[in-house]
Amino acid sequence: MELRFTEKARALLAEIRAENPSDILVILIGGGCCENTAPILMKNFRVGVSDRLLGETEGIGVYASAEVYPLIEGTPSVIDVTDGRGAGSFSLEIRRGVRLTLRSLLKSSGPPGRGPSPS
Amino acid sequence: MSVTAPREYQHFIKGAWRKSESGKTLDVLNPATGELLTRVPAGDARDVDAAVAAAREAFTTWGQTSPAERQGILLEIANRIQKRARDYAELETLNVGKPIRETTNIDIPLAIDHYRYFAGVLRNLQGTTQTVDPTMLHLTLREPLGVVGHILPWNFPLLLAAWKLAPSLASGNTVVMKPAEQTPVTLLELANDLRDLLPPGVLNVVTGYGPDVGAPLASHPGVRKLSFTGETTTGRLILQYASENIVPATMELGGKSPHIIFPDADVERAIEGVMVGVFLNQGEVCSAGSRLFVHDAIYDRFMGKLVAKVKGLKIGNPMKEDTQLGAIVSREQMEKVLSYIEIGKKEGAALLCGGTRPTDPELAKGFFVTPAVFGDVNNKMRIAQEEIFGPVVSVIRWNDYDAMIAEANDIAYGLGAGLWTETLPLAIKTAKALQAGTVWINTYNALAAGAPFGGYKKSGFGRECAFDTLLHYTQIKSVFVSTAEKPMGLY
Repeated sequence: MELRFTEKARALLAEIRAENPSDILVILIGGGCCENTAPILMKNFRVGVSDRLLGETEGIGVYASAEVYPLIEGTPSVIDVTDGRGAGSFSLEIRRGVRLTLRSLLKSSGPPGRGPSPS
Repeated sequence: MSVTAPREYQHFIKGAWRKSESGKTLDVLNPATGELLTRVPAGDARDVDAAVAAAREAFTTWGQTSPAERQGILLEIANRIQKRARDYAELETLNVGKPIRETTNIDIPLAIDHYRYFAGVLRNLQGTTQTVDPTMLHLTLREPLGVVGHILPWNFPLLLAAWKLAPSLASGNTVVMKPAEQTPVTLLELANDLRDLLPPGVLNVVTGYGPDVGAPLASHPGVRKLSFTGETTTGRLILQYASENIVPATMELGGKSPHIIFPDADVERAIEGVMVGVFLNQGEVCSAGSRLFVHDAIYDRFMGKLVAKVKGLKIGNPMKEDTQLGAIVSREQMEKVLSYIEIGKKEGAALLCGGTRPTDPELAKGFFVTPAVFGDVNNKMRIAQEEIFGPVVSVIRWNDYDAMIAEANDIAYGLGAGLWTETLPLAIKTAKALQAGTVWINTYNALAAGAPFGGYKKSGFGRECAFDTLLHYTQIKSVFVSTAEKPMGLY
């Protein structure tokens, strides 16, 4: 799938990368309770064998778990930053009063009763 | 209104308020007005260290208390909440945004009941004995684990704290709890109300953000068990910490529960059940019946009545006794819910009502979303697969039983499921076929102390609210006792 980052997201991730130069930083697209499908930026998270790499910036890989991947596969998306802290996750940016978001770049509506993805 | 929150709280560590090492605070808002409710410390690893040290020290004596003593203390916790029940209900409503009729009738009474339940059932926490042979007796002791680290969600703050605190204390553990940063008020109030009841260090509360407080707590080598209710990805991170320290964990994660309407359902009751399923607490319930399967034969009639009812829901100031739908917990959560409304429209689902911010100017500063019903939903759509955690129901039309069951189970989660039929064999057959930790037949979202609550599949593992929970908070010691009078003669 196509994954982009906004300039603001890149700058934020560069800042967090600079503060944690020797840590493994990973973004996993979360699912479920409270967070919905949100990017969660974690320190020293061990990526699992079923997680799928979607993209990378600042040495931070963006992954989707096996159950989330089919939902966003084929949907061009962008990782952005929005004001307002996240809804309660362990994502590293929330103490800055901002949160990472995953936005679909889908523009047109699909036919009724069909899924979002052509695949 | 008779109660207000103090202007600022501190951490509650070792039986006293304690300032955050960082000196930083975070704002806690009233989601119905967007105004500041109070401030709490934005803690960090140093505060967690102090809390875990206090809990470890307290465990040396608390872990040795008699069951009768702990029973008395748990009953007194229940009594103290009961005495201030109205205060707790108001503070919970002010902090979470949920209607006062819910906090008064559900959150607070159920929390009280869980302390009473565990006070009673802890006396049944017993070991076993067996005669191995005429000179060998074996017995098991159920012993507490030590310090338990709890990470709480924001949707039912005092109730879910009870789900975790009551069994932890009942079985002789001490605790460090991290409430959600949005909703710490009632747990901090409770800690203060118990300060002359619980020995210092038995209950510690550290507030702050997940990465600053939750992560140090979950990875702390002094913590012997973790219990987490929240989002699935965070659950994975916490389990990685648990694996590092080789400690057990209880996980209560997300859900996207199927709610099935059969053609012979009692329509009036089922519609009420659907609304309890997805509009209780503005849909911010992990077991929300957010995927509604309505049979083709009654679809049009059922949906007509449902939409009419939903349009009539009274949304507004959650402190008013007749409000049925309050505010979403935060601006961010409200924006997420609204973003799913857009996703649903783009996917081609039919938005039959709601899904907007209300036009009432009195609600303009609060985080409100009108209750939404999506028709013509396909189970593959994101609004059918992802947990929205808001007042949004996605309705799927069905006519083939086997295909419907397959779709109901075609989801990563398995927390709850509901069904409405007047045919008993069909109800039982369907309850067995659904992959969920709780199945509701001709009711929805019923909860009770003594009824195990927890997930199948990626909704987690471990059960809360029941006797089995005590087993999660204890470990077994196997003791062999020889009564032999002579050596065995082997050496």
